[in-house]
Amino acid sequence: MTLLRLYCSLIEDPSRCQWVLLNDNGKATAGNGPLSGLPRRADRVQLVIPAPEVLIIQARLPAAARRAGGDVLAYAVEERTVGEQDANNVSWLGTVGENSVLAVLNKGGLERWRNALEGVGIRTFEVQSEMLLLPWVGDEWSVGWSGQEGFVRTGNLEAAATDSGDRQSPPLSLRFMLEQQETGSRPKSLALYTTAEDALPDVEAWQASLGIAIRIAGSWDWRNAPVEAGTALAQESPRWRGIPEAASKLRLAAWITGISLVLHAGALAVDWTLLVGEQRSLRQDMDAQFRATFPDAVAVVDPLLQMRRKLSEARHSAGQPDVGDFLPMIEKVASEVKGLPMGTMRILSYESGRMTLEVTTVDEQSVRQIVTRLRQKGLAADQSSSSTGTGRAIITVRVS
Amino acid sequence: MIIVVLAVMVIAALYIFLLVSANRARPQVRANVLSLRTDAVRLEQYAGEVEQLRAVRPPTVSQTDLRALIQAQAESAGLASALVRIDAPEANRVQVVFGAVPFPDWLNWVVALNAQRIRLETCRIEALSKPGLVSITATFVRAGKQ
Repeated sequence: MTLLRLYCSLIEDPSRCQWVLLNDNGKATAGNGPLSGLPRRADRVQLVIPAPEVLIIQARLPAAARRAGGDVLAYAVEERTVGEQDANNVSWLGTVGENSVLAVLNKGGLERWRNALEGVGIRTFEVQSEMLLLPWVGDEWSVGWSGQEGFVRTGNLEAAATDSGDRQSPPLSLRFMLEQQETGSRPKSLALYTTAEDALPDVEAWQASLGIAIRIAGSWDWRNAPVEAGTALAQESPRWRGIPEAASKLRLAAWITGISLVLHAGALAVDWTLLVGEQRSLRQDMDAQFRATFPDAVAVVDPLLQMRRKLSEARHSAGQPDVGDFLPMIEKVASEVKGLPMGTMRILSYESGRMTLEVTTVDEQSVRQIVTRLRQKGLAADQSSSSTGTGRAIITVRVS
Repeated sequence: MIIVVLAVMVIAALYIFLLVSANRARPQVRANVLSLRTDAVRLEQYAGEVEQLRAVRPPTVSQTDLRALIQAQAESAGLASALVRIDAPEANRVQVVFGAVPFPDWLNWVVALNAQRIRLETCRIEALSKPGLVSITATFVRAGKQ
């Protein structure tokens, strides 16, 4: 795997940068020039931000604020940052004790680099702080020193840039940081890494000023940091970058589509509600009509069928014929089954306006045709599920 | 962003599901409503007729012996030889069993009975192996208030 590391100052023009290409076997190729000259096809790309341009701070945050991401975090740390909150890119790195560790970067500078890199085809990269690439071990602080200024890494996720100093005088901010440490949490020593030639200070003078032992750790350069060193401050992926832009462009269309869908759904719901309401109202009216005609009725399940039976009874009581009587029914049925071959009609039963025909050796299509014709005559005809596959079919007929 | 996209996809899927379901079920509900409208009109007609029939004075029920009348009619129709059994479980209800009778003759006999206000209430007609002949079990009632 290859890693391309770019040293990017967020306050400088993003047209050129120092870079190093690292591969698995530790071989490094370094360069300095325009972005168009950067090596292609690196598996990973890291932007290394100089120490003074990254502010790492601790804050006590609710869990929801961590999940909310950059914009909310920027406001959560507004008392600790300078300028407009919108100008800062704040990312959550992890926790130390009960505190969240946040990294603050210049949003505009980062955006400029993002656009510049996109122009040369680099759309996926992670952002690293130079400070968190510096080696660090448990009870020791690591100091990177250029001869005039530097930075100190005090923990796995904690680091800060220092103010200026010289060969005899260590930075005041470093001295202040050490003085602020309580006895238990004070480091045992400082590991001093030089980041430039002739940067080594007067160690005895520094020790005397800081009141702590200093170990000369040798020279260090961001180019030589191990591939797996550091903690990403931000991750850029092209897959999701374009979506907010596209979403903002499509906002009007989305609103129109959404309103149309809501109107359509509303119309559908109104139509559905009206239909269901009418259905319920008709059923209630029919029940009420039946009960008004027959107040003694115990239960009304199918008012039309029950009324039909009552009407039949009333006709018979009055000595009048009914369409559900045997003779009118057999007349209609006979006219529709007369085309059947002799001997196929085996049994005919009749009771209370219901006639059942059992036919044999008839194909299913013929039975269906009979049923259809009976229905056309105004009768309710059904073919029984009893199989026609055995050559036997049962047709039930009643007055509809 | 992922949550927003997922939420939009879930809402869209739900909307499509509801739309398809509603569109599929709506014709059925509409057909039900149309059918119910027709049923309601018919129910009203039936109710009106029932009210009219209630106002009609029921015909006087004949006091003649229904069993004897039916048997005499069978004899005059030439069906007496096929009459296997004739019972009168009630004064106005008679059950007859024919062993083998030509169906058209039997049907003409039923028409003749009907003209005398004797209505066929139930029957079971079974075809016999000889074409045109059937065995019949039938119940007749006298028309009028039972």
